[in-house]
Amino acid sequence: MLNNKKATIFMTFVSIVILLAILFFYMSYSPEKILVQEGLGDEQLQIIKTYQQAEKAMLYIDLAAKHSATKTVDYLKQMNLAEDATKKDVYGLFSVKFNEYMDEYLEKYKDEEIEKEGEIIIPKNNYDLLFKESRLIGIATQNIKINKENINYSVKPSFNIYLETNPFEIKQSKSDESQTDSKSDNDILERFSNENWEKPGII
Amino acid sequence: MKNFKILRNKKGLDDDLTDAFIGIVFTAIIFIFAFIFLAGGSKVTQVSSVQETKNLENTYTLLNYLRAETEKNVNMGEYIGSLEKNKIRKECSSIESETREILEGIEEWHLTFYTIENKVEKETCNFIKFKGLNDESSFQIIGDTVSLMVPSIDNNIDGLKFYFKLNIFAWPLGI
Repeated sequence: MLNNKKATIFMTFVSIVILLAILFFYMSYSPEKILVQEGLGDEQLQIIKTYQQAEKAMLYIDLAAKHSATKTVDYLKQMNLAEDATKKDVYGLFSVKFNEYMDEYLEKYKDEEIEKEGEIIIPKNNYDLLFKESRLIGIATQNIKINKENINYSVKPSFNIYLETNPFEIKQSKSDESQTDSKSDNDILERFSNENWEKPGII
Repeated sequence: MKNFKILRNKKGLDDDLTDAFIGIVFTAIIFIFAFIFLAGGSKVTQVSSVQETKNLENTYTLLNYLRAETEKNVNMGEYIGSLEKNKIRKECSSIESETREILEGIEEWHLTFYTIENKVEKETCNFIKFKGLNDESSFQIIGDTVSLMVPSIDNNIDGLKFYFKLNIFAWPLGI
């Protein structure tokens, strides 16, 4: 057949068409496209991964809150609180300093994690503090938000941690309880009770 | 259309062995390319999904490890985070025994944490449980690991980052 001119033309034509077809096949359908289109369960995996990303952030926030509380108590111990400092003053000081320490920790976390895990929005100065028995409860005013393609996840990063030292006892020896502002302090006292200041428990 | 005359040309088609041979070769090439492409694509998909699933499992293990309570009545993440840099160095061996207790039942794993200072200096503390691997310094752990960051009370440490891998594959160094 190769000696046949017509057949040679036909074979050459067929060869070119086949080569072009193979090239087109490879250029049009890369393995990556198949990975995206046919990866069964990819979207579900992404949902679980996003949930895990939030879980990691929640663990970090829980631990950062514990360290921040410890640092704040140390700070209060080092400060010479005025003799007439009321519980409201202590609460205000604790709250401001605690949020400062928390923000420092959250900044470090964002710097480290966002590059790797994708966008996560962790609000700053985000906590209303509540002292209950031997625990510190931080009620988040805004949610953590994770925004990804097709996934928007948000979770409230509140925490409930054990406090080893009662911050209101730091100045107890110095201050005169009778000098407290009764009306404003009652509000704080409702939020705080040291009756059950117990040993550490499981969180 | 003129070229279809070849089909009626007995000499050109049936009587020439080269024609049949070329036809078979062309057909085989097409099938081989198509097979390689399709098989390769699906393999990548499967490997990717399996790896993602493994990473999810590793992350859960790491999260649970850090939440697990130690004998000091605090969880592991808090305990290590509450230590100062020098204490972490000293406590590495005792944390290792605690770690082995917490992760008891898991056959092969590798856990590393290091301190981050100014994002430059790094120190590692490796806990490895792997058959036949006693001296971790002479082995390199291969493959993806999951990581998780916890805060430290020490101002000199930006954070403690934990790396964890199940079913490790270790490669001897120097070979």
